[in-house]
Amino acid sequence: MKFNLTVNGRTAVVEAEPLEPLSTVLRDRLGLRGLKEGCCEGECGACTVLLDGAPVHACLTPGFQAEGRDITTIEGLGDGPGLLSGIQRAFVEVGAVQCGYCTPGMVMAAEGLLRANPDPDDAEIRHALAGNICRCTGYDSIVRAIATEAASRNRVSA
Amino acid sequence: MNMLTVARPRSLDAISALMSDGRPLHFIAGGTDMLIAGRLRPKDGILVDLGQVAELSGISVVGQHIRIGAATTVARLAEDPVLAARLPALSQAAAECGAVQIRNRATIGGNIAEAAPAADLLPPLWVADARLEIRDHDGSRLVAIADYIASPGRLITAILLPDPDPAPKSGFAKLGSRRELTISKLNLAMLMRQEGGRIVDLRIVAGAIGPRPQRLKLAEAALGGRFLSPKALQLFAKALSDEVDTAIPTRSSRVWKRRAIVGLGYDVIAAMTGHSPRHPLFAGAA
Amino acid sequence: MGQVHQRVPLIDGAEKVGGKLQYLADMTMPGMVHGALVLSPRPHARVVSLNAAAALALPGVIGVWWHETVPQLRYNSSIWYVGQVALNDEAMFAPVVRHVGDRVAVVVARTAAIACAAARAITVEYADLPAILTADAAAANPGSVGEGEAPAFCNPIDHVKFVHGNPDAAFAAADLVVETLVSTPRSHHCAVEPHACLAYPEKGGRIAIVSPCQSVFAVQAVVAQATGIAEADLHVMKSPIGGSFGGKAEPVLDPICAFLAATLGLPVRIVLSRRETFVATRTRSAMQGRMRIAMSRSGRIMARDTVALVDVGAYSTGGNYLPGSMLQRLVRLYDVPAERYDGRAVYTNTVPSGAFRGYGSPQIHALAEISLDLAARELGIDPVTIRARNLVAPDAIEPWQGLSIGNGRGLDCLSRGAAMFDWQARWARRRDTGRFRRGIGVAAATHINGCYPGEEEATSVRMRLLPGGMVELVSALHDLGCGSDTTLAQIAAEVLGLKAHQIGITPADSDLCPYDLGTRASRMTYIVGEAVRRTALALAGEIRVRAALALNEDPGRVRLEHGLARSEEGEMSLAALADWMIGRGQTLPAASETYRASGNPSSFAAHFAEVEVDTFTGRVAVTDYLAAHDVGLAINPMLVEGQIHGGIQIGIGYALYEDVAIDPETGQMRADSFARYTLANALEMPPLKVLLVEEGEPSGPFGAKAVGEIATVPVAPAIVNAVNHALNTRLSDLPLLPERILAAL
Repeated sequence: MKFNLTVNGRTAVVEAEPLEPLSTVLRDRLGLRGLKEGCCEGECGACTVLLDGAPVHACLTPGFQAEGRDITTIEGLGDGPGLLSGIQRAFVEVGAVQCGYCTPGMVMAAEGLLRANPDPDDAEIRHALAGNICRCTGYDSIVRAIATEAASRNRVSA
Repeated sequence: MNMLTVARPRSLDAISALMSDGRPLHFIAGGTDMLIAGRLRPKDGILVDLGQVAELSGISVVGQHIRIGAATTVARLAEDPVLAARLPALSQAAAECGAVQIRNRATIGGNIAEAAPAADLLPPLWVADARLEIRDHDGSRLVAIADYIASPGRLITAILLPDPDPAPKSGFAKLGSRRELTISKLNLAMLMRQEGGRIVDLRIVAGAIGPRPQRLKLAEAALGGRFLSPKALQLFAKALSDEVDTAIPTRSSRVWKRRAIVGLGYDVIAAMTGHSPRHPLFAGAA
Repeated sequence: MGQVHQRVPLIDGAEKVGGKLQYLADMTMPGMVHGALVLSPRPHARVVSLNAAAALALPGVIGVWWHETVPQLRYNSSIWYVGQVALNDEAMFAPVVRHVGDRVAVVVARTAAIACAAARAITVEYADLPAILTADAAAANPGSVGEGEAPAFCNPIDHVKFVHGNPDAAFAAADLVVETLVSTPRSHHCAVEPHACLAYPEKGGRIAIVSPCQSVFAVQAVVAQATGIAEADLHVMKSPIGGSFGGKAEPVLDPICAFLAATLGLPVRIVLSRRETFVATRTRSAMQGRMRIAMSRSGRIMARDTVALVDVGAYSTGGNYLPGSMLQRLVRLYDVPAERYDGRAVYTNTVPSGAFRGYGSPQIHALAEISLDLAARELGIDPVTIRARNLVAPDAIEPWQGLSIGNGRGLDCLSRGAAMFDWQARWARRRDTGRFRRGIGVAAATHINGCYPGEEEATSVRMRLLPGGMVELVSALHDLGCGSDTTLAQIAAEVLGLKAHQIGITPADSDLCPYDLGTRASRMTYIVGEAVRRTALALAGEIRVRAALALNEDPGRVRLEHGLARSEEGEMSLAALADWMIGRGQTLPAASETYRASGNPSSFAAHFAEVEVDTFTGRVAVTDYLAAHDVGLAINPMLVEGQIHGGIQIGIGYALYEDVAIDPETGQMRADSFARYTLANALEMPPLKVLLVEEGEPSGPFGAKAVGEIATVPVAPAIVNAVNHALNTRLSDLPLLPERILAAL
């Protein structure tokens, strides 16, 4: 079937199978391979993207259902061409990245959290990350990166 | 040629029209069950997307009940202030259902229709005596949730919750292998009122001790009509364990579940009555 | 210091966090086709026939290969170099399948989806053979487990016996003898990146293999052995690795991809699904152990008598090294005057085991550290005190290989960690009696630094100045995500007066890089780091000589700092120096060194955990955690902490939930998905505290030694000991599932 997708502010026409997951559509048909596939069963979170600003598993979302909605992937986060966004910089600076495979999904989950809750406490951050598996970091630095970025955004907006 | 085609109806009437089409219908709301790797996906018939039907989404108070559109996401349930006040058991179950990515997609209707033994939304709906608005090619009707059986071509369109005034107290707790994003090995919902400190109208439903949720009438009888006391809680604890023994007499998980259910029962009662589960009241049976 | 001992962010961090780094599954090539595996549903069976007609009829299917149509060359996936002697028992596809998930066939198609559909359409006829599904059954029936294929498939696969001192006399003289049985589960690496490989034909009839591997040379050796393709015709390149932990140390898909690329003349990629990664790759071997400890009243260990049985699964891989590796770690922790060890490894018809962070160490430490705690309890001695009375001192000689443990600082980890954790006050706290019970636990651990003396620990590094002032570092480097590239760049940059990001690292490539054993055995920082440091020193000398000419100065008076070559007379950037030399037709400075290690010091750690157990539900919450580590010197404290944090995540899972759970009746893996195999997510993890003991290891680069593997070693026993403290139980079967906890109450 044919449908339109708006990804990172740009609209593209896509031809895909009816139950083809958004992850495959984005990766294979649109070449946006920043999101990763780790399980294809909604357990690892590596494929997390934002749908109208809210984190979803691209692997469990039929591509066609994203028509008419605003899709944001890791490629759409930067502050400009070649620039990282604040949350991305925070991840690198506090050591919240190791192998990097879970990172795009983790960053998108973090971004989704901060849009919904600009001032999360430690427990709220961990709750928001429950669906993202990281095997490298023990989550400690990831939680710290998100808290750091939240504080920085709140300083800017204060 | 057998092929799967997609329909994106915008109204319930349009869905009804599809129901008389004759081809097999596969309803899809969030897709979080259908798309899991390794599961069989429909190959022919009509894939009916429920996401465009406004009537299927949202929570409203209608007369003596609360109406929840079947395609309302679990995330919406979790954050809805009306539900938090009227049926906190459902809010809590929704808040702990899957992870945020799942909650943003999964729907209440899907959770009911998929009817996994460990489905977390079912016990709260059972204790609340929810009714389901069902539509198939014969039309629309209401069935009690306990009488609902999923079948192809039959669509849940709404969930109706009684809305007595004042609202009863209710609560939910689950146990899996970790705290969140975990398949429940046991879950429990309770609903009750208190009259002068006495527990009345108690209803208890557990999940994952059988193919469907189970009403725990022995445990209801053990605590119903009593004041919250260590003695009453001990009787309640014994009754909960007895319920598990009856429900799964031969399962190897029985030994663990008959004790774990007491922990869940105490957690829910503590939450409903504004106590900490660490309150000395609950120390008796430990 | 400029770069060493600094919290330098990953040199490839921006690429990773931007989603720009291309992992194997992100790579495509023109004409690339896709493979999908058919895996055995039976634990042990002869593959009688295979019907591929329905699969071949699907549009886009290119072909199907199985044991009748691939070379029947036996290989061992754990070898590190060509010619390494090992039990060659595995084949790409064999006539007999030996575990649920063993490879039966591969389908190649134009797309991955078609290949998967075709794999499902293949029907296979099996003739079941008797299956051995538990280590006990294997141990009880020594001898052949195959059909005339010895020395492979013969139990036990290895049997190590070791006696030191006079255990019998020590046991007879002991004030107390405590015997403990410990079992550890078969756990899975669960790198978030599934296993994958890409191979394609290159000019000259060669085959290129791109693989998220731990050693390109190991891939080359294994593929040559498995396919018959000459080693020289294989060009192996390492792709970025989305986590390995040992799981990608052994090539699983590489022989098949290489064979198919050679056969078809096309690029062939295979990416495993999550389930396939569980059932068809590698696991941590399960262990059953028994330890008897002879104690003096004062808390000195007088002797230990250890029996360990490890289940290596269906293929040997490196499993025959496990009993020896476990012994190597066991004897390095405490000063034990008399030791007896009996370690066996056996085949079973279950998923193979292989390398996994610590390689035997988590198993043997679980046995030793849980046993010691239970002995301490009987003696009425505080667990920290009993460890302090027995830990080895710096420069001790271990009794098995006779090696020095170097400047090993186990006692510092223990005492400084205990103080920071406020151990004494917490231990003195009255025991809880209600539903929720808190407890604390400690475990000590040691681990090796590299492969000496088992392997020739030699590493070669080439470095040269590039036009523009960057320095290229060429060695067979495989950063698994642990940040080793950044660490090594810091070491080189420190010596050369540069910043880490000015060191350009070439990912491992068998055509370009000198041989190296790969990223394993906690050898990157200690061994390769020292090789890099020495090469950087040599290069710095070359640069100073050239800069001296350019600056008209004596080389001895030229310093390299801030990206400049400086003397009292003047300074120039390395970029300017390069330009200056190029303008004069000179070759830019280069250096090459081979470093050969001649020791294997120990790293040490002491971990402290607080848990709260719900005695109704059996659920354990880890509420506080401190890890004290003897790292010599942290080249990058941020990355060291990250390694430790990640090790704790794996260890908490090992203690509490991780187990692939192979059904002892059917051989089926019950936990073959992330939904059924529980990993600690963010909510399960306590805030983590790290204490670094930095007393310097003289033989390590800038005093540094390893941390990667040891970080996960003491975690499980620390948690089990804390639970036993909370409940006054003697739990010793891992993982501590709620069912097991309630049964012990």
